[in-house]
Amino acid sequence: MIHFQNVTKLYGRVLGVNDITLELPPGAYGLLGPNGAGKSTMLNLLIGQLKPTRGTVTVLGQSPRNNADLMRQIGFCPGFEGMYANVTGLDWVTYLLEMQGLARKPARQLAEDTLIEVGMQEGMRRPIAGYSRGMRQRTKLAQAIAHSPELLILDEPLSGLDPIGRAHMTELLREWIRKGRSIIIASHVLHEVEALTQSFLLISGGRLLASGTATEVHELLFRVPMEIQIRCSDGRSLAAMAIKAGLADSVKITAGTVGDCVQISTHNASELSAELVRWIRVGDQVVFELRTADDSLQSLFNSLMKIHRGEL
Amino acid sequence: MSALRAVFIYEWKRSLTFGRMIWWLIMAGFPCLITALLIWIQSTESPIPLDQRDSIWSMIYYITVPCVCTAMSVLLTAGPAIASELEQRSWVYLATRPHGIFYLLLGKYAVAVTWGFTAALAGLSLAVLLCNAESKMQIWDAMARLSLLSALGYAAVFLFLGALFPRRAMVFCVMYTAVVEVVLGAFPALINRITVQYRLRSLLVQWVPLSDDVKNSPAMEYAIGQGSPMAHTFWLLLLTLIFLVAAIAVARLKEFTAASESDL
Repeated sequence: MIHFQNVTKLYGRVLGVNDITLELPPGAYGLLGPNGAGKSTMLNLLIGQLKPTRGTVTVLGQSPRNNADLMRQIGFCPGFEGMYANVTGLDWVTYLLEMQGLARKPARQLAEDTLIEVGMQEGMRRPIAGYSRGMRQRTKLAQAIAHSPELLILDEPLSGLDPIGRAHMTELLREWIRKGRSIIIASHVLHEVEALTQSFLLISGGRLLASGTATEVHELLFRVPMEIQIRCSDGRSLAAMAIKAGLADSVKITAGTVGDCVQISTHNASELSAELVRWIRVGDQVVFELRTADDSLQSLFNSLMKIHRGEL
Repeated sequence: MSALRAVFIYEWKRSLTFGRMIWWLIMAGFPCLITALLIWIQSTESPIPLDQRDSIWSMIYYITVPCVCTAMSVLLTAGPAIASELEQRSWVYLATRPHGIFYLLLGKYAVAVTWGFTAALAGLSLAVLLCNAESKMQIWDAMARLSLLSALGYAAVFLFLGALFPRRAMVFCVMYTAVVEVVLGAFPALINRITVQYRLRSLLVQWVPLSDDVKNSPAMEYAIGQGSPMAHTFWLLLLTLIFLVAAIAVARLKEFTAASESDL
């Protein structure tokens, strides 16, 4: 479905993506990466808005740059809004369908059907200026799926939505995937994409760092060096147990107003977490607070980048 | 063709805002205002001699209608055609449609021509009614044709400049008009032949009832071409086509991404 062959994109001296090679068969994929990782550059390369500085991009067997045939088979929903404020959602989607080559009447009917499908039956005849964030996201999705594309490309589709809007959008996208259609969802939040697909591509600093299933990403999260902070009654004994078990790379103890603060750096966070529960249970410890200092996806990306550069 | 029709109707509807309508009225009102002022001056000072009236009114309408009213109107609509989509970040929705850029630019071009030409026609019609020229119909007919050609030519030029420099489209359009169309267009050299002004001036001389003094003046000798009206119209339309094709080619070749949109 998608083929990147040694693709590099430079914006002047700034690197967008760096020597990416990948082959994706039809299916659902999550493109994960922190802000500025190169996700939008990759998406823009997929939809032909950018041409690679080096390498080749092929989507559904064709080059996407200025390719009218391919544009009939792709639906794109950008991360930003960019909708005309003074027109109705129905007019806007109709207009974009007409630009797909449909005549006015069928375009209007299809736009109406699609807007109803995404739950916009109430607001589709109102100007977009009065839409909530969720309504705008749904309208954007409607323009991307109305012409029944083979491949749907979404950039941060759940960003800024409230929990209800998020659940509704997730259900819509699940339905799309259930129909056996291909989709690529770019996001910087793992659990958002996890609810939709089990296949991930991890990108940071313009490089494709890893790819795999959700389980593999979670395993990666636990395998990378991580720091755990524990505020407890006896920091010294806890630190000693961690060192004795060989689970701590380094330990830092600082005395606080309420107990000691133990900062443990570890390569095996999953085992340390299991052991911590046992130590707390058998020992005479009172734990006031336990948190990983950097449990976000960002830490995974940082660590993967270090591994990539040979620093770890 | 449905895509082109859709862009035209959609853009036309969007252009009918209060602010844009005010601009349309200002543009259409400009030749009327100049006419009213001249009639008032004639009533208080000495009137224009009868044998010079057609020449003088023709020159006045040439400057006020195809050169100012039409050119300014298409400048306001065709110049920012791409910049406006980039500014409101709507470009990507249109560019990811089959031949989206082609239809978008052509549709916007058609709207700019219609907008500019209707303003010129309305202003011209009222102004000619007010004036005291002898050959009103001939002047109106010539100016209407010149306005249409001016709208077609200038809209293509401004669309091209807008595609080339979307960040400062209006500035470059004004600079181009001043430097190339006004200054270089008046040079008695080969360069003036590739300006819209040169062709319009050449057609003006042949289409309006100018006096022999004006026609045979040294300034006119260098400022106009000698070909037939058909030849000048052909070259002007060819120039228009070249600029249109260039505008579409530039827009298709350039990379207008989300990043560059937000930079605007």
